[in-house]
Amino acid sequence: MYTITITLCGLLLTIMAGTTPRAWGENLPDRISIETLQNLYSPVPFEHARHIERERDCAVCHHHTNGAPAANERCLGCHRGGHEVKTMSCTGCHEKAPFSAGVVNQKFKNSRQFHQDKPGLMASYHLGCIGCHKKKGGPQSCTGCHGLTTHGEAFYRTGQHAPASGTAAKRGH
Amino acid sequence: MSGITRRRFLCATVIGGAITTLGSMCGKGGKAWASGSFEGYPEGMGVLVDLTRCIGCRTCEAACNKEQNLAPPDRSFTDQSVFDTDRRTDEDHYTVVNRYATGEGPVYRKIQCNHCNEPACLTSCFVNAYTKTKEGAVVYNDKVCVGCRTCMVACPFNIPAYSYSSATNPLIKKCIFCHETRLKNGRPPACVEACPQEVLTFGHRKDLIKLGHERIRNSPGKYIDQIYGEKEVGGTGWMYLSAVPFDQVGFDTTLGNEPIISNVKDFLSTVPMVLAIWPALFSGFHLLATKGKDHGGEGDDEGHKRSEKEEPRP
Ligand code: SF4
Ligand code: SF4
Repeated sequence: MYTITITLCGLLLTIMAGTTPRAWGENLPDRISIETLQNLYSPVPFEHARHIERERDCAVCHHHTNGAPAANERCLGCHRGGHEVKTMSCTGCHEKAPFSAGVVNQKFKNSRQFHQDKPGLMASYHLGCIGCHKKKGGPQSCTGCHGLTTHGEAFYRTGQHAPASGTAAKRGH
Repeated sequence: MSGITRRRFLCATVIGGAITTLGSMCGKGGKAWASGSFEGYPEGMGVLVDLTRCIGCRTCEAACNKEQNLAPPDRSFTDQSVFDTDRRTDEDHYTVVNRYATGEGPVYRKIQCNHCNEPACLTSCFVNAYTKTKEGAVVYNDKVCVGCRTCMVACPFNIPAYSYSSATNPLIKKCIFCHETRLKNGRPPACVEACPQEVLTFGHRKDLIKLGHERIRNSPGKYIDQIYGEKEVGGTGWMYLSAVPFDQVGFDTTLGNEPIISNVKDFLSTVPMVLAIWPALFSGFHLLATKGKDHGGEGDDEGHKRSEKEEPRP
């Protein structure tokens, strides 16, 4: 049912756009550089258009935010579709610092609020991406999506920061 | 906190002084524990570890190594060959990830101190080196530790490790929930913050128990219907969700729900003789130790605190 709605939405967007861009509507980016959390790894060149072509259903990643009913049955109690939210990007809802004292204490004080178990931004990417890549054969290794920065090499003690072989035992015993 | 500290203070004081009164005092303390009057720290923090999410990337290990200034590793943190052996925590690794072959494919499990509500290491330590902080961390004072290794034996999870490698290092070594650098300042532990899969959910222990049960309920058939650590050994700060039976991924499922102190306590109240013997035993250790020191540290052994800190040997 929701697939049909999404497809209709897509069609509508295409018609509205007047052209046939790869990503269904001209306001949908074909390629996104995911770099908000960039530190140990370099930005991820995310092929949005290719993912749309393969997945079709926006709700798989965007849940209910484009106005379609939520893909997850449990969310349908509230999110039956009909209203779009202000921002569709992941950063709009998923916290960059999900375990800051502020967020954690807010949950403790207001334990009945919804979305208590909403993953933070970094986990949203990884849980979503790796979960799907496992099923559909996408890259699953860390460097399959993003290369290590020099900072990352130092952190993981690899590359030019790798332990010298043969001198592994740094202790006398 | 006050309950446990006071009783342990009393016991420790008595060990140093009048041995004869020891049995009765500790016995009394033990009974109070048995009745369940000490309920841990309801507002303490914890971590819910969801094994179904872990991909074995070892980022948590790297983060811990950096945060705690541990010795550089033998192998890079991207090296997956470490999974060929079952590793345990030691003085250079406060947390390690192990891999288990299961019917559901490989399952990875991060181990570190579980920060028990009623820590066996704390209750077993006769010099009061351990503290359970109000934030929920089990920390230790290396200046007080005499290296008797009682806590190592008492810990049901085999976590405290000992450092013999450097005279300037403290004797106990284990995960401290990043208490000093992070937890007490309102920041999540380094491993939690670094984990890309949010295997580790940091929060108030009470909230995490609710969240864990919700996760189980919301994905029927996905999880074993149990949060390991909710009740085990009186409850732990770090708790676990799994898709496969816990005993298949290295958890000890025979520990029961009673804090380990209860066993110790029962034992102690039935055999009060032991209480009289222990101080004598430790006094003996101490005498030996002091004797060793007098002879230029020659008699140094594992049984007492090393003296190199004050008098460096050539
Ligand atoms: S809480 Fe801190 S000390 Fe403990 S395993 Fe995590 S990073 Fe290491
Ligand atoms: S960082 Fe997270 S996903 Fe990676 S090994 Fe540690 S617990 Fe598992």
